[in-house]
Amino acid sequence: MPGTEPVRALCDSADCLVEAGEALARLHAVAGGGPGGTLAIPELIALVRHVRAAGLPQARTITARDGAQTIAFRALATPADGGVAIVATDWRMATAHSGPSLAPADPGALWHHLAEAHLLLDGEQRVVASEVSAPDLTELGAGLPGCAGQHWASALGLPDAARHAGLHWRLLDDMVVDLAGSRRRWRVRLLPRGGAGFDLLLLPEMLAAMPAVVSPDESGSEPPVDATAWTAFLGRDLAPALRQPISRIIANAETIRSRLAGPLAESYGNYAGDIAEAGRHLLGLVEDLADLDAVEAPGFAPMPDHIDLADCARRAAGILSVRARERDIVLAVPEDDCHAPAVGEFRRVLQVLLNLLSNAIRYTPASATVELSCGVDGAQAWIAVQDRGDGLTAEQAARVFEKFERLGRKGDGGSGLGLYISRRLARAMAGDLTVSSTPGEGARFVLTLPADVPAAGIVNAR
Amino acid sequence: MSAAPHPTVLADPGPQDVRERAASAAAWVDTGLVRAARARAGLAPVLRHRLHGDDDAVLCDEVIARVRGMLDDIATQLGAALADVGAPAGATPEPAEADTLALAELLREEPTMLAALHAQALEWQLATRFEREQGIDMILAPAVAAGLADPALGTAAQALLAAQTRHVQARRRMTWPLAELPQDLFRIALHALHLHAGDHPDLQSRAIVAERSLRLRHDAERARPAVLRRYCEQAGSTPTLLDPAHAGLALFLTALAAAMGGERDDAVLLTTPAQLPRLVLVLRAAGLDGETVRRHVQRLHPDAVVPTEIAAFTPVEAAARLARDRLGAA
Repeated sequence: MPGTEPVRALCDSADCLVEAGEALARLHAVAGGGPGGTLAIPELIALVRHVRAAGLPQARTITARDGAQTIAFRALATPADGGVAIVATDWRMATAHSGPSLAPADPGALWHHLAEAHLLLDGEQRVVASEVSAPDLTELGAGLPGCAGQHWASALGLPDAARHAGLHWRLLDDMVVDLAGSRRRWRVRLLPRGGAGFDLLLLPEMLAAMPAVVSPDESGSEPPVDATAWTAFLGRDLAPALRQPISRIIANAETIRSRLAGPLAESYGNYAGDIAEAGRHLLGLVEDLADLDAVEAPGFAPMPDHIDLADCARRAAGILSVRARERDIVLAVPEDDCHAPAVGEFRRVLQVLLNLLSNAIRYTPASATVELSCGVDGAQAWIAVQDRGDGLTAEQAARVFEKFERLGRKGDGGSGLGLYISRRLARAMAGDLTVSSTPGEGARFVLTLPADVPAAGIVNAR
Repeated sequence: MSAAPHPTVLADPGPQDVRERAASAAAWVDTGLVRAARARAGLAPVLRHRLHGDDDAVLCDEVIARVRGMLDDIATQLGAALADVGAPAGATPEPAEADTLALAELLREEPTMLAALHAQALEWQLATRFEREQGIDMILAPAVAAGLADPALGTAAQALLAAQTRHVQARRRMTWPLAELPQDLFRIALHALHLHAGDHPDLQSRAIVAERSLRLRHDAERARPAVLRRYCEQAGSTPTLLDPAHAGLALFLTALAAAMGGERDDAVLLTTPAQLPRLVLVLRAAGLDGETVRRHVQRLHPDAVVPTEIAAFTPVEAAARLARDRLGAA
């Protein structure tokens, strides 16, 4: 049914469908209309009558039932000799269930609220206008009006601006940059605008100042900032206290959004979606901060146990199967009779695998396969997650485990801490986390752990 | 003292105490009665409007929430200006909640302020709908893009872009920076600040200092209404700016206000469903031909039907009709 060819139809002055392309004739028949009879598609006849009365052309999105499916298309109706001519384009499947559709929450709205600078770009990513509110970017902001017409990367004074200039916006979205005059790091978000061009938003990657050390005189010596103490406070004291209330906010917002608590105006459903989205963003950060504190604490030691990496792989795949199915991605897990005994803390290994797997699902194109494999090589047990994404260059592979590294990949609000934490966890368990990749052929992340040698012997003996 | 659980056991209240309590009771009755009278007077019109039902967008929950959000933002900024007085340089003290609540209460009493905020909320609602349904960019409308390329208009178009970018970001967040308030609203805000200070000597002196620093930062010429007005004057060709699809909503509304010889806020109200016939007459009075009027109006009201015979009204007749009903148009 979906097609790019416009479908035409003509109604006479009595709203009878005198001519119709196949797709429209079919919808007309399904809706109970006879050949040459009054147009039967309810939303379309409303448009046709309106256009005849107004005497002006008008376009609208029409949804219609075709058996069990709902079809949507864009209809342009134009007055023609007393009748109305219809051109239907942009055919697609509409959401199958009836009732108000659940629009996915728009993370863009959240970025707009968090942004401390907003640049308006044209279709070629050149600066058209700007609005900077961050106090530490005042100088940069003052210079921006003079940069109109320049590519944003050079207007912001990025060191490798020339290299960015020709790149597709998707490759530049979500990168983290340092900006002149600011001690904070900044995340760049590029949101396409409806017509043409982009909204470029600068989101702070860290706090402007530690709350305890607001120094009254800026000109004086720099106050000592104890970053570890601050992380420890966030991770150890604040994160556990925040987790439960935030989870409740998300759960309640989702209840409202899915209208489980009763009917609701559409705008409120969308607001609730925004709340849930913001909540999930916050919860992700809280979880990462708690983990960061744990792995960076001096005495951090996981509790080793006898585990089976193949079992871990199957469990991780089970947990993420819904998300994979949403994107039509197949998770290939090790066979049931495959085992890879290792020594490590089960919970932490699962955490690393969930991180690797959710990244793989996120960056693999829809309908592809993400493969999990495992084995034992001498004293080492290993488990690998192979995605089918764009892959990494050697330089990216070297950086990917750094703290706050996002590689300019498009994400859903991750903190850039996941892989950093995962590698710290792997090393704390006397193993390692490495990546091998060829650009264009996906990335392969390998977690190695000490093999559980006696157990391996037993398995092999079977 | 009023919180004492058993007022009767208070030992021998002195004359001073009695006077104070009488005064506070009188103040309580005064403010309470003002509120009661207002509530009674306000009930009928609101109920009538709600029952009428066909123009709910004008007072829908979103609009009310936006008005409240902007009002609270202005009150918070005034409170912050008060808190700022005497604070060490570089520090940004939190405004006192008592101050912001009282200031918001005072601002709510200002009809001009409410009307302006309401117009802002309506304009935002219409602009987002316009962008979503008709793809007309809130910031970079075709007329502005053309202006950027025009040497005679380039500077004005740049200023407009910058102002509109700031405006969109602020309205999205339901804020309105004091520095960009139009002159009359700015005066009202400062007036509220002094009303709030009342006859407390400490608050009075802080209000005076706060006013001075707010005035230093205030720049009505950089504010969006002034920038829009200047652009319209320089562009000169009002008929093209009266095309909402070409001009974009922001310029269209300013041009519409100019065409009707009225305030921009009134032009915003003109785009609501209940004002449709008035809008048609205003555009006709501005000299647009009947078909053009119908086309432009349909952009704003896709579901409305404007009779073709509207062309029978000459611009002069349209203007006369509006004048007769005291509905504007110069």
